[in-house]
Amino acid sequence: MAGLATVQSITNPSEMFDKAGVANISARATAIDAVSKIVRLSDGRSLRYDKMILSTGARPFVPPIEGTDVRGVFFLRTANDAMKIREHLETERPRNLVGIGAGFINLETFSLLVESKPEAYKIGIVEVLDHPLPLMLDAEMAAGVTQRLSEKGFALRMGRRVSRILGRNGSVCGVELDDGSRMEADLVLISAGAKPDLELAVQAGLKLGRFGVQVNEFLESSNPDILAAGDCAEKVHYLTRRPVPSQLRGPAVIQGRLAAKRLAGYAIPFPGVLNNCAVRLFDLYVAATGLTEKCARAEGFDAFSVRTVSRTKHGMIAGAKPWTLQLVFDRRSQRLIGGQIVSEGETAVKEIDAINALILGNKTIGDLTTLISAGHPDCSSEPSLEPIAIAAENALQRLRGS
Amino acid sequence: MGIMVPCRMRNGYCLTITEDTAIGGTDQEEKMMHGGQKLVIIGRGGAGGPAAILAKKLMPQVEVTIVGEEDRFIVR
Repeated sequence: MAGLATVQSITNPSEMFDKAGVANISARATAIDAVSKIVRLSDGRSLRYDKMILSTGARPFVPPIEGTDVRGVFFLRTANDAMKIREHLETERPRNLVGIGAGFINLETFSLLVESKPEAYKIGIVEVLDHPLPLMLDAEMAAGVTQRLSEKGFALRMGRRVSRILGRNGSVCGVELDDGSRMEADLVLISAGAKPDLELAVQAGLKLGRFGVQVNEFLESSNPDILAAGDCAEKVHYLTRRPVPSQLRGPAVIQGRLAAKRLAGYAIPFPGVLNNCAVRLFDLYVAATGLTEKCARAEGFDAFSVRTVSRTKHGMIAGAKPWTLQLVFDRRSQRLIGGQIVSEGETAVKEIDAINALILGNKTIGDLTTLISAGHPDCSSEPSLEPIAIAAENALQRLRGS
Repeated sequence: MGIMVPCRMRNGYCLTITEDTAIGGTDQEEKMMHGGQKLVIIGRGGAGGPAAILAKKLMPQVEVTIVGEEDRFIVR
C-alpha cells in the first residue's frame, strides 16, 4: 500500500506449486460432500479426496456499526484488499485517515504510509481499550508507543468506541465516537480482529469450537479424513490450555506443515500458541509473546512483571539504541509466562523468540538467572547487561521482598 | 531423541521417522496417506501453501491438489 513492495514480491507465486508437483486450481470450493468425499468447485468441477486439509483462513470481523459499507471504508486481509486501498489512495488522495482499532495492522499500515509521504496524511486512531497494541503490551510498555505515535502526529483516541461511520454522497467523511465527538475521515481502515471462515466446515458437519474448527493436538477434526490448519482451526493457548482467538501467520505455517507431516506418518503434537508477534512503528520495534500481566491476572495467574532497560550494542560502540524488556512471571510456580519488548533498534526485537522458547521450555525465574547469551559488541548489550538474566534477577529480589 | 525407524509404506517408498514421533499402533494405516491417494487442500494462504509443498515432498506418490479462490494472497 505504501509502495514499498510489489504484490508479486509478497505473494506465493503459482509457479511455486507447479514446481513442487502440486496441482493448483484457482476456484472457490463451494461444497464438501463428506460422505462421498467429494469437493465441488465454483468452476463446475468436482474433486474426489481421500484426505483433506481445510485451511480456509479467516475474514475480517465487521463491527456492528452503521456505515461500514460506505465508499472509502476498508478492511485489510488479502493482497487484493491492499491493492484496493492503494488505488483509493492514488485516485482519491485522502488526507484524513482514521483507523478503527489500535492493533498492529492499523498502526503499522499508517506508520508506513506516513513514512512514505510524511506531509500527506493526518492519522487518527480509535481504540476501545486504553492503550495502543493492547493485546501485546501492558499499559506501562505501551506508554513509549503512545509517545512515539503522538510525536509523529497520530491523534490517539484510546478508550473510545466508534458508534458510526459518517458518509456524504456515498463516500466516507468521518466517524462519530461514543462520546459524541467526531473525527474527519476520507479513508477508514477497520482492523477489529478476524473470524474464521467456517462455511465449508459447517457444511461438512465438522464440530466447531468457540474460535474455529475443533481439532485435536494432531489437527484432526471430528471427521477422521479432514484435518484443519491455520486461521480456521481453533487453537489452545500454550499456558492456559484454553481455546483462544489466534489468526497469525506463524501458527498457520507451522500447522500447515504439521498437518502434512501427520498424513505422512508423524505424530508430532501442536503445542498450542503463545501469539508471539512483532511490529515496526517508525523507528520503534515492538514484540510480545505469552500473556500480558493484565491478561495473566484475568486468566487466574498470580502474575507480576519486571522491566529492565538494555542497549542494542556494547556501550563503547557508537549507535547503541535503548530497548526495554518486560517479563511476566507467575508467582506461584515462578514460571515465565510472558515477555514484551519495545526497542529503538531492530536487533533486539528478535530476542522475543528466545523468550518464547523459554516459555515453551517451562523455565522459571531461577533458570533465567543463569541464562548465558552469545554477545558481540556490535549486536548485543554487554553480558553484564543481558536483560533477560537481569530481569530475572530483579524478579528474584522482588519475590524475596514480598 | 528417538530411534530412527525406516517406515515402509504401501506405495513402496521409505519414510524415515523417529520412534517417538511415529503414529503408533493400529491407527497408522488409517491416518497415513499412501501412494495413489488424493490429498485436497482447501485454501492457499499461510497454512494451505506450506501444507501442499511439504505434503508433496514427504509423499511424492500422493496426488496433492490445492484449491484457492484468490489468484494472489498475502504471505507476510
